[in-house]
Amino acid sequence: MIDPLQYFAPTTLQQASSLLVQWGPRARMLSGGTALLPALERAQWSATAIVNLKTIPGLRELEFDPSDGLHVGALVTLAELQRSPIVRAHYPVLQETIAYVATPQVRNLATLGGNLCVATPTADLAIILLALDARVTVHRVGGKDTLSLDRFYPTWGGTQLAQGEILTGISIPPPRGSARYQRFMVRQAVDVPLVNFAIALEQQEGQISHARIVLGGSGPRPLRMIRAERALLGQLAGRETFARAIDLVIADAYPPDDLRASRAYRHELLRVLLRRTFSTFTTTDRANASF
Amino acid sequence: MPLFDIHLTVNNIPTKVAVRPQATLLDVLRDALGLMGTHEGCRVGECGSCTVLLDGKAVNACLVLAPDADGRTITTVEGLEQDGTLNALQQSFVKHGALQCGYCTSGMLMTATAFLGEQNNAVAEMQVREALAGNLCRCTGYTKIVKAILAAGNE
Repeated sequence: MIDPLQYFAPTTLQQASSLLVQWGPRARMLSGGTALLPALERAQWSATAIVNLKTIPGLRELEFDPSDGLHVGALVTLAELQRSPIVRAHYPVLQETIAYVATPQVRNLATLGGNLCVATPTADLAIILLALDARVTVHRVGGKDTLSLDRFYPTWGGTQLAQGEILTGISIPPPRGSARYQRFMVRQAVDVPLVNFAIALEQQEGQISHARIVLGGSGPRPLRMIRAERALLGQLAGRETFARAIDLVIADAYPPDDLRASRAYRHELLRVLLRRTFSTFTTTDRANASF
Repeated sequence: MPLFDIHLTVNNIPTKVAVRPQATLLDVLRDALGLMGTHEGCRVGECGSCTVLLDGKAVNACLVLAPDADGRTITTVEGLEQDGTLNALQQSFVKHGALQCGYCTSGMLMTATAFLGEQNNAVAEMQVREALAGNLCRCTGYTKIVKAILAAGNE
């Protein structure tokens, strides 16, 4: 049973922001509610005030511009993104990734902004959006600020949001090359992955001109594998280049050693899945991406 | 703590309910409106037994804060019958023996209702299984539930 609380339905960002400042750390933002309500129910989080962001108009846009990329309002639900013809056409990997998140019922409620603010180290969408160089817009007292998702997530976990600040939108630049998301779970749905990662690669005349490798669950936030990314740049896309990058990922990855799987097992799993995923970048046959 | 008046349309009937701000839609349906067909399982959005349609979309009623449901349209399992008889999907569940203890059944029916409502073409088994990813059943092993939904969708 959730403890009694005050409920507010602001209609502007300024109102919401003031309420959050006024009530301090005991206020929680409500968007989809799919993380907030279970956390309150389990008494993992406490709150004396709920500030509903869904009563604020103008945070639901979903627009694509070929030179500018995709703009997604913070309140767009995961189901809306998954069904969007724009997403299917320009960011198919994002659509594939959303299918892994939670359940169909949860995806009908959960919002992209809320999902990113929960900031789970294994979060599917944070991982793929880091690989796609996404940026977020944050409402602050006295204006708004746009920063990379990479900066939005501090190294120690959580987000950069201070009290009263609200994530209002997500921007994804035009796709560079192609990207893959890979995840291994014991159950087929609604499970914490043992290993998950995203890779984005762009090739020009066979040489790798852009690389992103983002690994989940290997620290307090999804991590860019910077050494492996650098090792790929300027190299010919092929088995030897990929093998060097994989060795660097394994060296830098520190997955948990817990009841779900040992660290040694996760390292081995990671190596196999990285090899399979990289191999799909040298062939046009996307079917090889699955296993 | 003050009560909130919210307006809901539940199974086509406009309703005004006074709710505690910390109540969930599940609490409102069961405790305030007496609609016991929506079952409470995990209360944290994992089991799917409280699935209802919110503006036509399947959601976990335990994940919707009651004041946030103001102005919305809700369909529960009690809203599926037509003229006092079970609808085609419900009859398919009966015909295929798609329930044992029955606890998950109303959630299964609501998820299947939303899923079948979105389909224009013949329905494949894999689609049904993916649609049911958020509904746990601990008795049947799902086979007969999937068969019942396939039969209702492809007849």
